[in-house]
Amino acid sequence: MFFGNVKFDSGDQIFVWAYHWFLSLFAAVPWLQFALAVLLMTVPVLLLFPTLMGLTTWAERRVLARIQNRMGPNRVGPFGLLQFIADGIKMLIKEDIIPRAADKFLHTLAPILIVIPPFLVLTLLPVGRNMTVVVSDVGLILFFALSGFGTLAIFLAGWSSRNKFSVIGGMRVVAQTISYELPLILAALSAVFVAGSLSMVSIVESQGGGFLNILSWNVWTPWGFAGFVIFFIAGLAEINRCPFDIPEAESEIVAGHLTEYSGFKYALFFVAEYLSAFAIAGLATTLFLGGWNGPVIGEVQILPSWFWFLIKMYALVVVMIWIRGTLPRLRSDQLMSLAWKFLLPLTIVNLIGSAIYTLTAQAGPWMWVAGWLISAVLIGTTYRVLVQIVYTKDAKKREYRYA
Amino acid sequence: MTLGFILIISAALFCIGLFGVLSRRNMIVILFSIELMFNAAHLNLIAFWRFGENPLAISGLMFVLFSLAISGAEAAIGLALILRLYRHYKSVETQSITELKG
Amino acid sequence: MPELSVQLLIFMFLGTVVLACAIYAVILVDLIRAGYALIFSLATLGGIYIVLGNDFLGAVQILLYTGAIAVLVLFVVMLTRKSVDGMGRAEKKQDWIWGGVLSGGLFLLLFIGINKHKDFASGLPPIVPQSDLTLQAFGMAFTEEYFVPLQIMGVLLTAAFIGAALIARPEKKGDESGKDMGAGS
Repeated sequence: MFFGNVKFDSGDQIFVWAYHWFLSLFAAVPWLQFALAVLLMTVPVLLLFPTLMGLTTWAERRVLARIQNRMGPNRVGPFGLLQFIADGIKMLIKEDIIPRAADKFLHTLAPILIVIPPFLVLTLLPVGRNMTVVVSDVGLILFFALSGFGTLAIFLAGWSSRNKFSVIGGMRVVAQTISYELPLILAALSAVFVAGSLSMVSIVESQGGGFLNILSWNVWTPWGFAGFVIFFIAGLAEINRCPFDIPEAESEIVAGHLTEYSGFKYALFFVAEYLSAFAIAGLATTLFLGGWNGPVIGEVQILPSWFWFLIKMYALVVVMIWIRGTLPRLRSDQLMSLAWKFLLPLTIVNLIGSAIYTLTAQAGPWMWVAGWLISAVLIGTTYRVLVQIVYTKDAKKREYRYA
Repeated sequence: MTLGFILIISAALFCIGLFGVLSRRNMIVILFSIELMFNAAHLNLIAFWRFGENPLAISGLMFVLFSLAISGAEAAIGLALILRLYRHYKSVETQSITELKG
Repeated sequence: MPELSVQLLIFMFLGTVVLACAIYAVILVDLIRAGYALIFSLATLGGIYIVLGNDFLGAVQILLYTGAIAVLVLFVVMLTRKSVDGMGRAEKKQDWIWGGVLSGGLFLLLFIGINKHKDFASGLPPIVPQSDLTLQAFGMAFTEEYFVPLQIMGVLLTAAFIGAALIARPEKKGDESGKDMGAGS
């Protein structure tokens, strides 16, 4: 809609400039230049996100602890910041037990397989201006295609353990994941109408311009706000985090598909979960929160674009931790009814609202306001009607009797 | 990288699928092999689209897209039929379907 | 040029993975392993499509086969198992011999035919520079030239899935073969 010309400060392109300068040193040897280019693009992803993951494990334990009125780890290093190194060492030196009846090859293959899709998918995210590792014009579909592998890996983990708890846990995860894939993908599609392209870079660029570079984000529109909330909820269900973490809860079927795993393989499952959380948070900021767009004064952006992306992504991860500490776990049938009866109709109406908004936004300011109001009314009434039908129709008023 | 190279890979994939259909007696593996043959044909189509004289013609990709959708639907129906047969004959072997009366 | 030989290496690697996983899918006794081998093979084939230059079709192939067909295959394999250890092979030696001879003969025929054709040794044409053109061309083609096939495809897929659900439906109360493996609650 608005395409502004933002003059960015020098910190914005510093990594891109360093990359090109380093590669120009090897211009005489093309094959070395090619190999170094590939290495320089992939190794930062492999280093940055696991480090952020270590920081997130510390943040999760501290934030959860403070919500639950206790302290959390504060002995290892200043404020307990080195706790994740201690945890890593502990995981590495634990004995790796494979049950005798388990399928050894598949049992070892499952944690390796589950850690690959999050890394692949993190390379698709536009971390900054000109800083996307894999630029593709169908980046959004590649994201959802590659994240489908995680489901298969969890099922493999459950199946190969030859344990009834694991098999049931694996099947529950598959049912949960395929139920929430539809609202996830359709909510992401509602952000594609405005951008007109499936490429993530175009989606971020179409949210630029506007007042202070903030008001043009997708989340301020009615379909964007509803889409963001739906995407976030469905994303939480996809990565098996609270309140949808039946598969990995300790008080449920022992530990579901993780029952027979110990040591480093167990750690790999959690690495995959945290990295998937980063991927979902990163995609939510790309689609709805404006990606690397930050506030602009005049023509100069205040802070670099990659900083804004990382801050927004990390804020969403902190919100995920907050939700984990606050909400109780959903039962399987409540989970399924939320996906199929509530989120899916709301997502389809969200698509219609987004289409109406896109059509009217090009036609002038009054049409734009009219489109905004029409889509807001449409989505709002659908939400109220769905809540009435699905959740409050048969609910009796609660009686409290105090002893 | 020549066209012949991709065609040989596609031919090999097709023949592996054919080997599975002809020699296995498990119905589910026969379905896997049919999927492999479908995909060999798709690879063939993509190769000819890529190396053809009109690289912007959309009809090659359209062919593959529709064929992908149809092969997916066919896999779903085939698996449903296998499930039904298993319930009746209690086996997924082709040799066990000996009676015509249900 | 370095890119071309690297592309050839990547292509050879992906092709080897596809063929190896396809051979596993056809030979293994354990159906879960065979199913996973098939899924890896077809997903790597999606990777080959991406290397050949159309991201969209590769992404659709991976999405379809790992997201949808994989789950179907795995559930059907689980629902049709009688014992965990399996019963060994049901195929006799002559099944393998006939299958090997016929498919090997066909492969030899195709190999000789491909090598004899004079046009197939041409090099790779350059990749179309505006790759976004292909995706927009898809959209335009779906709304202009291929509109009727799209609608027919929609009807066909709806009919297929309703039919599959009806065929696989349990008939009587005591006839569910998957009743001890209920997914969800």
